Amino acid sequence: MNASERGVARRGPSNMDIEALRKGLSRREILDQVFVLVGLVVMLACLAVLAVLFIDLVKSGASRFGWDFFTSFASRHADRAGILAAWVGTTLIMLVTAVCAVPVGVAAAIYLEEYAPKNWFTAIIEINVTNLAGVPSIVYGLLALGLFVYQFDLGQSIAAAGLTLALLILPIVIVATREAIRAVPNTIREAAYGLGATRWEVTKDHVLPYSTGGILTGMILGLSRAIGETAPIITIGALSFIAFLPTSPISSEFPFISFKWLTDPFTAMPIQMFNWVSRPDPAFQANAAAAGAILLGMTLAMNGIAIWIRYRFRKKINW
Amino acid sequence: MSDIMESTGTRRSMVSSPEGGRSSAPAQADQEARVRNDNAAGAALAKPTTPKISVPTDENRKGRTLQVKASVENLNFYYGQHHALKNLTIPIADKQVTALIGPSGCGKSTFLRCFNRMHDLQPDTRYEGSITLYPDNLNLVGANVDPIEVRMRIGMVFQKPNPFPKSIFENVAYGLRLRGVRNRATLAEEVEKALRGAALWDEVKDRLNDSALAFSGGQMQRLCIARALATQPEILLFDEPTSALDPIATAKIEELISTLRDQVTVLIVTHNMQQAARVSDYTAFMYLGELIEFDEAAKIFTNPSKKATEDYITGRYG
Repeated sequence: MNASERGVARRGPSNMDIEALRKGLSRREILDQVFVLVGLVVMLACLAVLAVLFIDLVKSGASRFGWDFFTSFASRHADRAGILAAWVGTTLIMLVTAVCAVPVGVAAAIYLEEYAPKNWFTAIIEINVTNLAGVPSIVYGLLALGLFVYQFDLGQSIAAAGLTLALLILPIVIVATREAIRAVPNTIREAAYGLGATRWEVTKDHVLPYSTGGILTGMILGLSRAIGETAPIITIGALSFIAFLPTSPISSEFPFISFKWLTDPFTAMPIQMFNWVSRPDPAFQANAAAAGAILLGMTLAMNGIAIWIRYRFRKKINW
Repeated sequence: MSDIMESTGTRRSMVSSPEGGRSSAPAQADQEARVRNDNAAGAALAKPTTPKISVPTDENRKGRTLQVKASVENLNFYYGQHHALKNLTIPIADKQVTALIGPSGCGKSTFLRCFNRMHDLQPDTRYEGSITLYPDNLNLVGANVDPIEVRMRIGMVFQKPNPFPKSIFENVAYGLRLRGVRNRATLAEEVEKALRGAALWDEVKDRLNDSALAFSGGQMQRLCIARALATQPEILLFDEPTSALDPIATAKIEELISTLRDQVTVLIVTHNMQQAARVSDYTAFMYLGELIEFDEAAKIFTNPSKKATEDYITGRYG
């Protein structure tokens, strides 16, 4: 650097340059604020829609909330009708769905992430898994009707419904689990391999425990999608008017645990709601609204649990 | 290439074969080693299998020979079509620190990772040549050698401290658990020994059940060293172990590496030439996948025989 260059550097910009710079800067800062405002409005609008929906349901169904609503079967009299069969059915279906979809989905994700070689074949599988998440649920219903109800002869049962919804959420579970597994840093895998762990040991001792939060979140998000699905379980033939519960899973005789409930006919929350909405008697509309509010509440609660789990695990494992 | 080669008297490799070593290394020392070997391995082992490396320049050790822990011979390594390591031949002296230096991308880490077969985790990689581990003559990169066995015998400490997000205790005990150790008392004893070995025991003895992620970077790196030491590896590989650490933590790790020399053979990759000069007994300078010079550290850093080495250590490039 010679003397004249240093001179230029010292002189710096003129006052006019600084004015122009400040003007440009304030314009950019205004744009920044505008974006914050737009984002806030859009977000509040979405929240408002959900809030209005929920408040409307609660208001319309307010007269029906009460213990009796949960402990009564469907009835021809609107004021005596309840959701007992529906919520028991939904709970049992969710149980079957979770038990079927989670192990299969997690195993598939582990295979794809940790074991499968990266080639055209696994690329095709990956694309298909993502596409499956977008298949309309009625298509799953038709598949299940042919496969589970007739081919496997499961009939119009809780098992058939649970398996159908398991198929429906399988892609969601797989995608979420893969994301969770991918979030485990490779340096951790290397550390375990470096100590002489086999692939399975790396997976079971490290990858799976560290991604449990993400996997559970994916599972719950999948289930909260399944809980509201109506089309596929109507397709496989859920009853809409039912005045009995499935067989109790606990029996008084040996071996005390019964799986007969799997083959029992069922109804579910969205179907009960659909049934009430389609009645001409306006008194049933209140029932539908109350059931809707409860279903929405169940979904919100499940999502809330998912967020809480994610938060807990993030706090514990912070890479 | 160096005095070592001349004195061991082999034609192409710097590691003398047992026969070659006997012809040139001081016969008495070799004879002693041979007797030790025979005692250790029993009568079935008719002749010594471990080659020697001579120490010609060090004043204190002049005329002595050191056992070789592993000898790399004509090692080539390929990532797919890319020829990453070219015909490397280096002896790794037993219970000494050997440093690998060279500019970024010269293949130091690639070379280091051959020793514990980390490349096997990637598809489309290929080794040629051999890394013979003594005394049992196991070719670490042999196609029929189980990489998991290799990794159980050769420990590694990585560039970024990578403790498992578990407790201190579970981190150190993991290698032992993989070997099927279940006894609580044995585990506790070995964990303490490893933590002491890594100069970490006094800092963590009351916090063994705390998460490893709650500690500082330097402590985490020493924990990783303890984790690798717990299973008593024969060689400990360090891949730029201090590049993510502050100077004080770095000094502690360097001091630790110097003391580790007594119990384990150390191979360390470093970007930092001063570090190589401080901690290593032998230094290899690599450039573009080739070995440019290998010699005792004192000689490399004071009187390198190659122009390229001199340019690198004087900071002309790299």
